[in-house]
Amino acid sequence: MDEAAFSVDFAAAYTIIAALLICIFFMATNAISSGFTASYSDELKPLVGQVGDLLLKSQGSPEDWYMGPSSALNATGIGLSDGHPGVLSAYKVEGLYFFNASALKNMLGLDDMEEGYGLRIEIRSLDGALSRDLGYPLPPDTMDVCKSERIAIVKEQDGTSREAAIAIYLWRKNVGAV
Amino acid sequence: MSGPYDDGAVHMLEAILASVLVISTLVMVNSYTVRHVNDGGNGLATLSSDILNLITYRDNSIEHPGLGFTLSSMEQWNNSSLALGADIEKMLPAGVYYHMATPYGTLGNIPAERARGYSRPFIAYSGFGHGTGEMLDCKLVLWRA
Repeated sequence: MDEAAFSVDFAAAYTIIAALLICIFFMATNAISSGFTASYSDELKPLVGQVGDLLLKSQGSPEDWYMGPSSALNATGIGLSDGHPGVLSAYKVEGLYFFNASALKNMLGLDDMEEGYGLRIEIRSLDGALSRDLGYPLPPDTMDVCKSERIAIVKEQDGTSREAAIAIYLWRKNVGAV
Repeated sequence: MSGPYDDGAVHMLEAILASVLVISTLVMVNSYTVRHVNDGGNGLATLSSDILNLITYRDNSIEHPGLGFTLSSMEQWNNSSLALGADIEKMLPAGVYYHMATPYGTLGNIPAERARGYSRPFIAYSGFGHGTGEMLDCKLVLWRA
């Protein structure tokens, strides 16, 4: 009877310890990796702030870069401001579609030989009339994406103004954990 | 009633209790790490800058008055400040509050005692229309409850 009891005890204790060790392993791994991954996102905050300022406060160079594909691709800088900080030109917002995701990233000063950054820009007017998504799709289930939310006015040529929320997502490819 | 079976049951209970304690400690450490890292940032500084740009440079109207128009005189402040404040509130994300102090009066909620926030002083020119033409020391404070 004693041997049988010992066997049951031993098997139960072994199972519990094994389950505990598995939990400890996964939770410790998660704690460490999520801390590091979140720090990757934090490190990108100054950079995503610069990208937002460039979009919202600069007119671009030249100022009429949005007039056509050739002028857009020959521009040395792009900005959406119509002259006042935070007031965006609707034409310039549409002009962003002259760039593919990689070119858009490069025009905003994120040029890197290793293709290390991912960038996504979402522009939504608060009245729902304007909705534009540009850049790369968001990587699924990653925690290292840095998001900056800005507010601005999008001004149409006829003088109509719409308040808009601009979300800028920036991340490093091949960095971080799920 | 004591015997080898009872001893085994006690050990199992001890092991289960110890497991629960260790796992709950790990859960606490794990959640603390994520919350701590994600809590920082200067989002309010950027937001206050965007709000000031927006209310300064947007087209002025009775329903949506601009900052310069509202601060052009004491009378205009009395007429337009509530509409301006309502517009600022709409721009704030959930859980963020504002307080604007001007020589003509204040708008919004005074920050709570230990609230985390960002204070942006600015100078407004009250020369809009028939304004007084003074330079007004103002302050916009954004804070989280």
